[in-house]
Amino acid sequence: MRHIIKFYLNLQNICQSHIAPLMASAMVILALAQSCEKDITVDLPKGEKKLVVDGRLFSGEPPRVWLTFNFPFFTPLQGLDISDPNAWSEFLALDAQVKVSDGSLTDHLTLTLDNTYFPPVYYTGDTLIGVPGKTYTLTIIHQGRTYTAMTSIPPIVALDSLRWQPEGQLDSLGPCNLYFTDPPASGNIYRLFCKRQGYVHYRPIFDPSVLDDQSFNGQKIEFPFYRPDPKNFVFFNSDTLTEQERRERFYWKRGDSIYVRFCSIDRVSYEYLRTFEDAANTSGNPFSNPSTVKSNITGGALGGWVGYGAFDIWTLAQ
Amino acid sequence: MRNLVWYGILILAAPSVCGQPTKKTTLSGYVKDAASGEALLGASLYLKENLKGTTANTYGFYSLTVEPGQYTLVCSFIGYENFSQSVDLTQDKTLNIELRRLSVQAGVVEVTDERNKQNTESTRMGTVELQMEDVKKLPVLFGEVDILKTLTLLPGVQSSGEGNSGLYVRGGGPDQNLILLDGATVYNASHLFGFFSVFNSDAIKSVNLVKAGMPAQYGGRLSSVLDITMKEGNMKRWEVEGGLGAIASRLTVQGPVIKNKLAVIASGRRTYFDVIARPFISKNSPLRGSGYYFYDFNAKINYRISDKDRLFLSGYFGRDVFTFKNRETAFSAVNFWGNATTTLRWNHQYSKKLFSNVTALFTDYKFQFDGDQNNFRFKLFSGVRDYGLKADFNYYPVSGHEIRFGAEYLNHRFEPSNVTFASQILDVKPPEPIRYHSNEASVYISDDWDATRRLRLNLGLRATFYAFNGRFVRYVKDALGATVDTLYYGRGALIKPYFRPEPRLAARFLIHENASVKASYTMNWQYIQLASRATISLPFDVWLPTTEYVVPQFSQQVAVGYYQNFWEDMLEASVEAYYKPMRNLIEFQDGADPAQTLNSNIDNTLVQGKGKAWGVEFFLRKSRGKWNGWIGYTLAWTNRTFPQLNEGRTFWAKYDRRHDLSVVASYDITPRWNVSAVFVFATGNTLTLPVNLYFLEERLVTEFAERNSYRFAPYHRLDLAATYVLSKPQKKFHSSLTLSIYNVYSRLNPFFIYYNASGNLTEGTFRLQARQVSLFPIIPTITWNFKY
Repeated sequence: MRHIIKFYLNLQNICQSHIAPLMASAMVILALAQSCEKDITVDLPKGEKKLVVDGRLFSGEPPRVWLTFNFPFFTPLQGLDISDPNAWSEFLALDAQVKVSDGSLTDHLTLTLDNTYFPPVYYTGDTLIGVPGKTYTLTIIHQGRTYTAMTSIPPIVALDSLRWQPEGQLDSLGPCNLYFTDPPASGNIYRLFCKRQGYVHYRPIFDPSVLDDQSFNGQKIEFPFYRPDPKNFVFFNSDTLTEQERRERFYWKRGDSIYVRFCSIDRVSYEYLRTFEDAANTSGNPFSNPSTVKSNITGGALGGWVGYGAFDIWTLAQ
Repeated sequence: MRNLVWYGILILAAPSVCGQPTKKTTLSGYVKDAASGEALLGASLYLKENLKGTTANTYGFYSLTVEPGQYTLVCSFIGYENFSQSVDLTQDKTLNIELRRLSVQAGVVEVTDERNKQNTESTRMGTVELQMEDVKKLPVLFGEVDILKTLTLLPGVQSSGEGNSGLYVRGGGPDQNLILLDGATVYNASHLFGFFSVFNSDAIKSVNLVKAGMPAQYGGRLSSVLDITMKEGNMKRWEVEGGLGAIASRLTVQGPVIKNKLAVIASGRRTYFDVIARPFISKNSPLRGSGYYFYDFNAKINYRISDKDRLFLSGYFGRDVFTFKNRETAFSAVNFWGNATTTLRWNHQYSKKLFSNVTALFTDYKFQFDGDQNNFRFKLFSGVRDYGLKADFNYYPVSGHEIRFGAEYLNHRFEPSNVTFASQILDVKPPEPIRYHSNEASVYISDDWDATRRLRLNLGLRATFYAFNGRFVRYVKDALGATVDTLYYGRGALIKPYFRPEPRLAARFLIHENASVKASYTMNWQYIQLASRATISLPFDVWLPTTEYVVPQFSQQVAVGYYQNFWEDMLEASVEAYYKPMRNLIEFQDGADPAQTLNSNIDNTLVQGKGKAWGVEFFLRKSRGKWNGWIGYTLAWTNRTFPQLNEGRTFWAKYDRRHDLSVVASYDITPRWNVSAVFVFATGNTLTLPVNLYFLEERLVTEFAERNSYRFAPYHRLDLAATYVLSKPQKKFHSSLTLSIYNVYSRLNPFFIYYNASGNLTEGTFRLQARQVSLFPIIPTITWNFKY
């Protein structure tokens, strides 16, 4: 009989997410509320302008590629209307040639406006659909430079079930557990997306949303996950949450429909996503060494091109 | 290699070459404090007639071999009255010396012909010895005397300001310092992230820091040795000593169980901000039950078996403890870390010329986090545990030679980042703890040799055999981090051996009585290292051994210096320049995930590179008289080059600091009033700045500029202290009040910079602002100390 292992990585997240505030509170206790903060002006060096690629290909869906530019750290994003693409035009690469090929079929992608995403403009196609087991090449030609990337869609791994459970003394709030059996061959890597009823798009679970099966290869897994905010903090003002919303934040609530998209990804995508989430996570931490995202795009662009073998499932929290 | 052979020949040949056929006589004995019987290590002795001299070793033992005759022996030690006695050395003689402490209270004005020649006469370079009595006079933060903080006031030694436990010596990292407490390694020398050191000032006798020309008896670290000696316990009378401070209290009891035969000392310290804060946390607060404290306990037993044999048993135990409770989410945690060390030492005097010390030691550093939520318990722990055996011999064949030789064996067990868990609901099998085992054995020999009247050489050779042993499971990874092979090694299996010689050379040339030039060359290998993903040292940083993947760190140091004493040796001055290239330094890869330890090895995520450090240090010190103190100035550079970091380009090390100035002064106004001041100025620490932002998956990602290419504003601070002795000098009960003012002009020194993101893009209010955080403004504290 196989042991059911409460998933280990998640556990480390718990440890880390709890240790960090503990350490921080120690610093606070220590400074005896006397530490002093002030605004300062820092003259930043000038960086190079680069193309940023955010390419996603889910099985059963057409490719979607967002092309943007990086921008100076202190650029005033203030006052920009994010629903107006014109306001964003200087951050967007709207004049690129983008194509995706699976070796036999090539799809030339075109610009689409979709306000449910940010940025609201991306390149997509109408002939090619992601299929597990295939490899896809992305080629971008922009202002005379060519960028390429390759990704594959690994075979889909199905989830066995989802089960919500209340936490501690809370009777209507708690995490949701997912159960699945990792295939016997090692090297499976997953990324977990989820959403609550009423939302259009799935969002990745809290970092890391990627799991490498090297710690649980071939086992039956139970893995608890919490509810991500509907938007990332730069778009989401947590200060406006009501007291109740604040208390329920990160929990699934009794009565919720919980939608999960469980994806298989390849190792190159894993390295990119892991380092991306790490970089996004640590960029606010003054004590961490700066980390770099391992892009899988050649030609000097930032970002990545990721294929997902997606399995969708939902449950009712009860 | 041919050079090494040469050194060996020189050392071995030295005694025979210089030995004279005529009969010699030997004067030997111990130097002790007259009041307590404590050994006075480093006391200097010489014969007036021929100016032959020596220095008492760690246990106060000395030996001088000369032509038979009538001599006058002079023994001196800083802070003590000089001792002078005529000795008839027609035959071997034992003379135990007891020095009396210079008493300010008694109003004794210090007029002696004390010759403090250590500065100019010894071959030692980059070595500073601090007596706890002097350290205690200086201003401190929150009333806690801290030797590590005092050391950072010396040239070539830096801290990164407040909130960092690391000591950075001559461009080396915080793990490159060998910190020994009575011979046992202390792996984490600080409490509460470096705000306080683990060394309780009441239990410590002296501190010796070596930053260049490391003698052959020390090894295993690249940058420095910090040799800390605990008090031995008063052999003459019982004594109680203690202090009440703003955040902690101390109590020390010591005395003779059998007078002049068996003495004990026990010393404890505990902080109490948790106790003070408790009444202010409301009963309904969800965080009730959370708190923090640390404590230390030192104890030592000192048994004089006979005139020739002594036993010392000493121990240290300290813990930082955090408790955290959140009733709402049913989450509770206990987090603690700390060191435990034990040493058993046996001094034996085989003859008047041969002294030995055998040490058995144990040391353990632990970091543990126990969490409990929803009947699910988990434990995160890491640590390092050593046990070892050392034998050191001092051999004084003839005057002009002091030979030291010995051997050391250490067994290390490392446990980097382990997690175990238990659940009452699920049938769970926790993973086995991951351990790394290694063994380190070394032998050394050195000779401190007066080659001519002006030239003294210290020739040394150390050789280390290191082995990385099983039981161990190696996960072999490909470039993308996928496991391609798994290798199993059985218990004790030899996975990778390393054999490394370390020649050490130092020379002193006496220009005239008060001035000398010195030079030294040191080669060091380091087999264990601290891996940190953060830019500051934290208690959960893990120690890792050299493995078959991680090769030992290596450094060489060349130092030259000029030393001069002025005003009858009242003033010691020195200028030292050094150049220190280093190889195989370690760092984590970009984006490394050291927590990923299941079916992975932490050393898979490390990268190794080169470093270089060079600089000049100026030091002016006055250790006697009403006025004493020092001025230290360092001009230094240190950089790093890692093929995998910063795109392979050389960058300034985190602790590269161009200018570093410390001024320390203490003045006895009257026998009852003492005032002191400390001023420090240092170039700001390096920092990596963000340059660009970009969006990925609706998140902001930062792109960084060249590593460590920016600097914080300079660090400077003035501290003052005044001590008033409350009791009359004749009284047995002695007490004093100390007022310390830390950061007198409340300079807001940068602790860190962060970028505060506020508002959000949907509302068009998103904004980034750089903010600088400083820790301590002006902090006055009063401490009451007593001694009975």
